[in-house]
Amino acid sequence: MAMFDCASDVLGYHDEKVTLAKPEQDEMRDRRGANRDRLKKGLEKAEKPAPKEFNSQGSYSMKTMTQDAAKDYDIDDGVYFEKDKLKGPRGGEMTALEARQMVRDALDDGSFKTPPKLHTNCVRVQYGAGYQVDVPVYRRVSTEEAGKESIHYELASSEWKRSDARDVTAWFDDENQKQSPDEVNGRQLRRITRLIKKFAKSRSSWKPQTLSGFGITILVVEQYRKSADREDSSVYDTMKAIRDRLNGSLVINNPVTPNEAVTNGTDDSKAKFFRDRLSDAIRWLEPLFESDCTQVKARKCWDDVYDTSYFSDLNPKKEKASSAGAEQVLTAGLVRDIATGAHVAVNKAGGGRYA
Amino acid sequence: MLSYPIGSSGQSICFAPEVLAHFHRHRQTRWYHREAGGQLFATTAGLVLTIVEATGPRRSDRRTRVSYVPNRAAEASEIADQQTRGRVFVGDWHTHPESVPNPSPLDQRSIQECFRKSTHGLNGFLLVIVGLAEFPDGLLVSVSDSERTHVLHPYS
Repeated sequence: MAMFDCASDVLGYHDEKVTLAKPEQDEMRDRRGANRDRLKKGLEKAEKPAPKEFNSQGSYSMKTMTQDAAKDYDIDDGVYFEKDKLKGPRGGEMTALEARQMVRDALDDGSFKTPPKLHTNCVRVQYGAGYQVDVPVYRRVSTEEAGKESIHYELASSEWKRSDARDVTAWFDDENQKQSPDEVNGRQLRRITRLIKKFAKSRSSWKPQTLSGFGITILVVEQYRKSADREDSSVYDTMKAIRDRLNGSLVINNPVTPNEAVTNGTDDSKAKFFRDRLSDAIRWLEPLFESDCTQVKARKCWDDVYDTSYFSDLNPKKEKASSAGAEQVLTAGLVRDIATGAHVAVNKAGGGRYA
Repeated sequence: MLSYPIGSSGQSICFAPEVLAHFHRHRQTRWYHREAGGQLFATTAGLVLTIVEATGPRRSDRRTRVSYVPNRAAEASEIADQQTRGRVFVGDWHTHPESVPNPSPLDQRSIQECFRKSTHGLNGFLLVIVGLAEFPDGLLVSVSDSERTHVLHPYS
């Protein structure tokens, strides 16, 4: 039995409620820019080396961020230095910890309620508005072999560790291009990633218990089931494939760093939680495969998955008892002053989304 | 000329042959064709509104097989341009990959919201959906106010 078709509804939900709208994207960019300026000024003031460059990473860079009612957004913005500019207090090589401390101190201009904190892989800046910026610190290492210069990057972790998160963005963009059947609206793999991440955080109580956005992204890329015309089938089939995969193994490996897992051991509690919630969603969507499924019923199922009333709100409203005024267009015509030919200048707003 | 009366108002809508040809050209006859759409502009003579221009699709629109999101800035620019030529904006059009088209709930909500939030001198906005069947079967012509969408039927 084929799944009841809610493709347009699911695509509409993605476009309206999941992907970040332009104003939010602009806001994120401004926040990132402000943080960069703060760091540059702080380093200059402390007479520390200037960054060679900044590079966004994570979901911001992969464009897989999803809307959050609590505006709980994380931005990952790596700062890169030349290795030979990072000198310790005695002129020796700066350790990974010293590099993170230098960035933490430069970011802390005393104006924060919660001062920037050192984490193993980054410096975390908590802004009052509810969002945070994670700043991983990298050094650019130039080596020469047989007269040829080669460049690699190292992350200031517990020690300097060869890594560059830009590889993750490149990996995702490449997979998105290779696997998606379309070329518009960010391509389908990216949209399905957002939709499944949105599901994973659809209840606030799930947020601390479920798999990281990166872990989910890896699983979607690994198990993605494309469907050019059926966004809803693609979501369902991908969810099912991920659930089955996690039933086989809860270990998720980093796609660009060999021998590094993003999960903790073979019994990762967050991967297990995510797997069990996927099983719930798959069960909630079962009525869509029944022969007597109706649009109203199908939409209720999708509401359950995303803990929303968005889908049911698409059902036509019941007729109002009085239709006075509502029929004006049929009695007075489309154009109000057609006889005089005086037309009001049109300023279009609202709407603008068809399916 | 294909013509649709608007209820009992005495006003009617006609489509210029070039507009129908434009619709016909953008039908989603192949599986890989994406939804196309644009705006409708009319001239008036007596109680007859003739749709003389159907704009779009534009490169800047967001289009998939089953959705269409027009570029709002391009729309504003088209409205300003057409107004200087004495043409009035009367609504939107887009295609559906179905033989006899029906407005989706999103279509209805969208055009009703647009009617409600826009500044204009109209009692309703026209929403035309172009399907695969030959016209008039493959053409859904409707008018929407802020609450309802009424399907119009051509003169027989």
